[in-house]
Amino acid sequence: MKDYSYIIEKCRNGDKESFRIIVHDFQPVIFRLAVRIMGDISEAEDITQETFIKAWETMEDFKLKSSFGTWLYRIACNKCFDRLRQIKKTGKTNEPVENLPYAPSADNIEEDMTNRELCRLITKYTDEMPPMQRLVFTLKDMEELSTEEICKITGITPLQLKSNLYFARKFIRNKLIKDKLL
Amino acid sequence: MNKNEDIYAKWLAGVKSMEPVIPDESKLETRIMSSLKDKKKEAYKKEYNAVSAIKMLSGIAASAVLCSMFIGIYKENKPVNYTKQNMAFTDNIKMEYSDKNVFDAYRCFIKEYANSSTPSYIKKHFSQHKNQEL
Repeated sequence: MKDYSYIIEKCRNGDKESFRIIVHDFQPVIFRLAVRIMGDISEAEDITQETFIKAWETMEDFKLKSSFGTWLYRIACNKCFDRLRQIKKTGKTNEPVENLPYAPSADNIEEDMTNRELCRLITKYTDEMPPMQRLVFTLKDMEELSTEEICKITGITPLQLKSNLYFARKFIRNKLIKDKLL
Repeated sequence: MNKNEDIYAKWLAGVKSMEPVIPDESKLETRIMSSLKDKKKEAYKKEYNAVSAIKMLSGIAASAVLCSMFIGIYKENKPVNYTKQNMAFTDNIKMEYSDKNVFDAYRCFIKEYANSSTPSYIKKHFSQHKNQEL
């Protein structure tokens, strides 16, 4: 793991070129997370941009002892959560995107196509979930983060995490059964 | 149920294996970098604003002090108006006449007392004696 403390210190003094290193290193991770949570490319790009702007502006608040990646994840998750709540309020739903920007997952084209179809389905299912369940499901089952990390990022208790995850998984299972995929 | 669990796990593994990638990494990087505010400029702006705020506040304070000084001077030099209703004229009479003579003071006292809102029987008494020389 790269040590970012020196770069962060320079960023705090307003060095944009040092921040470019951070953007370069972390933007794929933040974009991946945003795509998985939002299920939309343009939304994910906006979230990635807003995350880095927020990080640049609040760099002074970051404590050097904690993990910089987790801190960025936290900002991105908050942005996604706010956006999801906004979308839920307006009642707008994402258009099903046929070609989300995924790297080929397998050498076998057939398997890759199946996985693409599964990704399309998960975007469709999670779109109907409450924002917190969607966030927790993505962080735990897609990003494979630990309970401790998710609690730090989302600011919820382990018990709340457990219950949100339980309902999210149940929702997905029911949907799969309904669509005769399970 | 176990079969379902297996299918679910397989399904999840398939989804997890799909890694979203940025369509144009450099374009997004440029977009992010161009939207960042210049911290040095911002800090200078903040400092400049603070200095101008201090200047403005000190200007306001100075004008307030000047105003209060003028008001004080005006109050000190304001002529005493004895015809005013309900005023504590006895003190003013003392100030104005005490060092002249006691008769003047008393004359003035009667004049003022008659003008103020005093009971009618006192007014009547003064009107009866107003032409009498003390």
